[in-house]
Amino acid sequence: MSDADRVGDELHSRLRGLSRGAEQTPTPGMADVHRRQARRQRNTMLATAVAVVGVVGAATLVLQPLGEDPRVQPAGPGLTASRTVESGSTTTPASSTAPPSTTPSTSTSTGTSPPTGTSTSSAPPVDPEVPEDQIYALDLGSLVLADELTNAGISLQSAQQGDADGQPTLPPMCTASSWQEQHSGPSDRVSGGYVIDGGELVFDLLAYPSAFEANAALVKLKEDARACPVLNEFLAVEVTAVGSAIGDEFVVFALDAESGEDGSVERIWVTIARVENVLVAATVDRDPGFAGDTSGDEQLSRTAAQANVDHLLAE
Amino acid sequence: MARADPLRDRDFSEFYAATNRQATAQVFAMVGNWHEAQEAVQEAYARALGKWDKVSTYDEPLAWIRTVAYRISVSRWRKARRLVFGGPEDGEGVPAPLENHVALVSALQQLPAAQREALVLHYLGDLPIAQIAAQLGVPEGTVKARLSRGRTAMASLIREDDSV
Repeated sequence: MSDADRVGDELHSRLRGLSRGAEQTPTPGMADVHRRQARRQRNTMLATAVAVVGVVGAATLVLQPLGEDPRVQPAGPGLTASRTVESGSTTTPASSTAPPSTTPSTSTSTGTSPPTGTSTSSAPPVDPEVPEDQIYALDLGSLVLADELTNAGISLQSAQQGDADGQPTLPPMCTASSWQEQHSGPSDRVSGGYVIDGGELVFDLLAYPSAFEANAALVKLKEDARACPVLNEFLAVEVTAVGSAIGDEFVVFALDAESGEDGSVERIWVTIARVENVLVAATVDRDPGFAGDTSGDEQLSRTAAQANVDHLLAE
Repeated sequence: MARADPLRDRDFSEFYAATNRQATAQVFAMVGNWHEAQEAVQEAYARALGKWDKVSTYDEPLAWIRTVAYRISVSRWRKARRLVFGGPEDGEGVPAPLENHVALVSALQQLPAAQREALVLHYLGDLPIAQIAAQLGVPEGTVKARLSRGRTAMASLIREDDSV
């Protein structure tokens, strides 16, 4: 018997033992499967309803070209997003109509403090000529559609369900104790994703009461990633690009996730673009072991973010 | 809303009862964390239930479950979040019947994912090389190479740790 055969037989024997052991383990059961499936059905029905409303709304706008788009409204007292999420932080309240800072500052950004940055690569402020923020309310219809991604040159394998129970990709950094605090307490959130070759493309949209606060939240993410790049033994974050080519401004983050087993490191790309009061985060997470060449993942993340920005602007 | 179909439900329940532990064991061997494997497999079954009329016509519905579960579980995005937000580490909380196999699964985790997947499908899933090649979308020669390299690596790891 060759060495290969001997090792093969041994592996077979031991893995069969594992299989026999699994036969004796308790299982969550069919009830758990039915619960999960019911949750998926609810999400699908909601998404369908939103799509129908979107089509009807678009038709209404065509028939009444001078009508006001209900999804884009001027900011004002008491105006809130369509849904709310629990905020884990207590951010300094900022006026929803406060004009954004146009003066670069050298101070360190914390919470919802004004945007910072002394270099030309820093996120540009909102146009001071716009007296009032445009406020987008989020729902599942805010998420980019598969067709739009395909048209942008992104190859999808299938759609996933929304992941409203999860957290955005960027974890708490520095002193933040929750994703809500790290993201400066957004007033609303919607997320979803698609299966791509060897991984997934995930979208997280976070809404804030004003463009000013969304800008401050993005600046905080950027500054915290730079200040605290090592998150734990297995995870590090890096800001790789800042600019204004996507939406009003954007930041690209790279998360290096080490397996902790074989030392291999996977790079997860997150492009976060701001459109008025909304942060659009597009995450590309692929396992090189299955995806093959992942060298284009940063660009893929940017393209995906741009597609969702275009989708929002077209609403 | 579609009415419940008792025959369809019974068919799926029987499929679940017959395959879920096997699927979980295979995903566990591939990802190295029992809780992650179980979570991913349950989610895969939920997705299968939603499209059972279609999945049930496949030659190997279990292969579909395994593939979907694996894709869910290998998401480093989820893994990275688990590392930060907390959760059972690899090997922790493994059910008693599987405690003796933790070292074996740990050794498998030291292999490149593609080799590990080939070994698990071949030696645990009992799939022939041609079927593995078809499922993974790679030539049979690639599967043979992965098996060969995987066996060589495992032989070394097994020698290093007699308790495996």
